[in-house]
Amino acid sequence: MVSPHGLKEPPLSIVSEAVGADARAIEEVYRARHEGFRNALATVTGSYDSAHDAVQEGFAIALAKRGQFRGGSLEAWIWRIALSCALDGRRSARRLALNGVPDKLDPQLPDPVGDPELASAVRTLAPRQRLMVFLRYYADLSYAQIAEACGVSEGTVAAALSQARAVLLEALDPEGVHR
Amino acid sequence: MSTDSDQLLPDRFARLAPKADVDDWADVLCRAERLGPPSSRRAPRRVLLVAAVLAGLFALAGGALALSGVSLSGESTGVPAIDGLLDGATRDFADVPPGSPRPRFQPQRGSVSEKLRFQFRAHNYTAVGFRTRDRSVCSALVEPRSKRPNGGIGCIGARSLRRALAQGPVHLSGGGGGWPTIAHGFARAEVVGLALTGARRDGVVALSEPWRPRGPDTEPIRFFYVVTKGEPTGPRAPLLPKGTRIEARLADGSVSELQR
Repeated sequence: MVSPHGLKEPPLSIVSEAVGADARAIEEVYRARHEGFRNALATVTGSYDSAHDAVQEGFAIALAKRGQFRGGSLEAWIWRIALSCALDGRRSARRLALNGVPDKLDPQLPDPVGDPELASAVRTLAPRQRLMVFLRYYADLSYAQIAEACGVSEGTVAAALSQARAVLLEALDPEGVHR
Repeated sequence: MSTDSDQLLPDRFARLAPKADVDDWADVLCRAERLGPPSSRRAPRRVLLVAAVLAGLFALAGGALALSGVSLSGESTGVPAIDGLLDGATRDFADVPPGSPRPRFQPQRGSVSEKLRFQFRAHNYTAVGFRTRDRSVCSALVEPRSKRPNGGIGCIGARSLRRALAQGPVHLSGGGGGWPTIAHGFARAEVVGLALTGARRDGVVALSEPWRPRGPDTEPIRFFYVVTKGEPTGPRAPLLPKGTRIEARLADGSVSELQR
């Protein structure tokens, strides 16, 4: 709840300066998150290699443009840049960092044969809900960070993830063994 | 009752992804160098002024809607802050592509419970239980008098819930960390009391009166919240502080323990 019910998310691990981001903070985010970002971006690009490239490009742009960061979650800001790199290339990355997430995004598990059951269950979710699931379980972002990355409220993230979790568990664990 | 559902999804996702290179930050630095020195750009003052005026207008409109206590669609829960939360969550999924499922979080008519009110460390909370139009049983919680109102919704499929409560009298279905850590769940109507035992007893457990989210001819159930001081968060974080358990007292005097 705000995590499905955590009313208030904890302080973000990396909090921005008031204006502009510190290069070291960006490096810390990279070391802590690059694998999660790559996994989440692979759901957009379709492969881990191209996602890795987008992550590197996204962090490079974040470093070069860190003076434009206006506070909030640094992770969410970098995520938006990296996502844009994955989608359209560098030019729109700058634009997207300011404008949020495109509506037409349709993320999918990059390797559905690895877990067809999970892939099939994930496909039943709405695209934006799917993205939130990937940001939560792959990128390990908090509810507040997902909210900022997707341009919605924390309550929406909590609700969407709670319902997605119910749908996925219903499909993956129909006998309720894990409940 | 086995309750490790929180681990199931992270594990399934984690198994799919190959390990990434440990340290290639130097590559990022090389790419950044090619992009040139750090730049700064400020929005023109006029743009900021227009944005501020628009934000004010939207805030006024939203506030009026929230104060009216009317949900945009579906039945009102009787708690304007919760109605706003549900409408907001539903509205954010209004633009999904044609053919995609569109989550709706508003209550089905007649499914809303009585309000559950409780307090934790001078914070007042209000919660209701309800059933959504797509057959999820949910509870929603807000802190309506807070200067910065927060809230959240937790749902479980009606079938899953029925199965879980067939296995045990109490089902802890979700939650989140931070301050405070709030877990929520559902219980059979025969559960007349819940208490925290074990390591951390300084939290609050609030149990609703029985209600029938699935219709007047169905079995009544209860919903509950467990609020504790706070623990680390993340997909793998436990719903209850380490070593803390929930003890359920049943109407026949017996006691059942739920351990997470």
